[in-house]
Amino acid sequence: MECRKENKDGVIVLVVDGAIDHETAAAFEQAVMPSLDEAEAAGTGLVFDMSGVDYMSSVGLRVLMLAAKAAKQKSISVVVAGLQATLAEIFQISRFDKIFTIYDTADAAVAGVRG
Amino acid sequence: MSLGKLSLMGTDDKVVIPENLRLPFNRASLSEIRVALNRLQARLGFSDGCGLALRLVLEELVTNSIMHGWGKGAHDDPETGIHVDFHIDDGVLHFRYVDHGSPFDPRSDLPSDSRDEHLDDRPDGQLGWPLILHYCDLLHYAREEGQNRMHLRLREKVLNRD
Repeated sequence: MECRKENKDGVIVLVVDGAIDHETAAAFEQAVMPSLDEAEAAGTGLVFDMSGVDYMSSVGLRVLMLAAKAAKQKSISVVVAGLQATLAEIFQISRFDKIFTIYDTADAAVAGVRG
Repeated sequence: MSLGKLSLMGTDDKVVIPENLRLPFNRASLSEIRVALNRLQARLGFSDGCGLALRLVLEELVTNSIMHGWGKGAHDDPETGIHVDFHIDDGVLHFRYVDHGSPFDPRSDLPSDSRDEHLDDRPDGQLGWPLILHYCDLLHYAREEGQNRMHLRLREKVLNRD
């Protein structure tokens, strides 16, 4: 798994590639939490661009759950973009589609966060 | 052979697959599963989508065994760890999952389903079993000889996916 951070029109975009599993979930969490702080400082929000993620187990979902709760405390918006079919199904099973607004693309997500 | 089912050696009868995993209660077992599933996929020819679902199911089962079943840190003896045996019955993949950990009957011991709760009321975890039971039927559980013994069957809709 690889994570890289981008700033698009003031919105923090975390672009994630690969599998989020027991081997990579800790690194994913270490990338997510500072990104939430940056989004809070920027007064905007955070977009997870998941278009390159082909696998996620419950350890990855746990990190997203923590992110959603932290974002609520910080009063910032956190959204998800570009879910592949398998991941969209995992989100649906876990009801994460009720927690996160999901966009087809990162650009659409950035526009959505900017309102 | 039915469409969408697995075939092996041209028969729909019960076929035992020579892929028997003996895993210790430690995280290295999770990587071993991925390697074993690659072998299984090459042997049985199921789709990548099916392979991802099966990987998810087994990783969630093993993660639960390691985190909750043993509870005393890593344990390196595979003979008293986790055993997984596969077979095909009527074109559908079955597997027997056995661990030597604490008693856990998924029919009665699962926490209440919190997936539809408000965000504030949802636990951070407890997401593994809903995934397992989405992709598999739990056909049998027994606590015997100090082991949790489960028989699971991959759902046909999983076999049919791309």
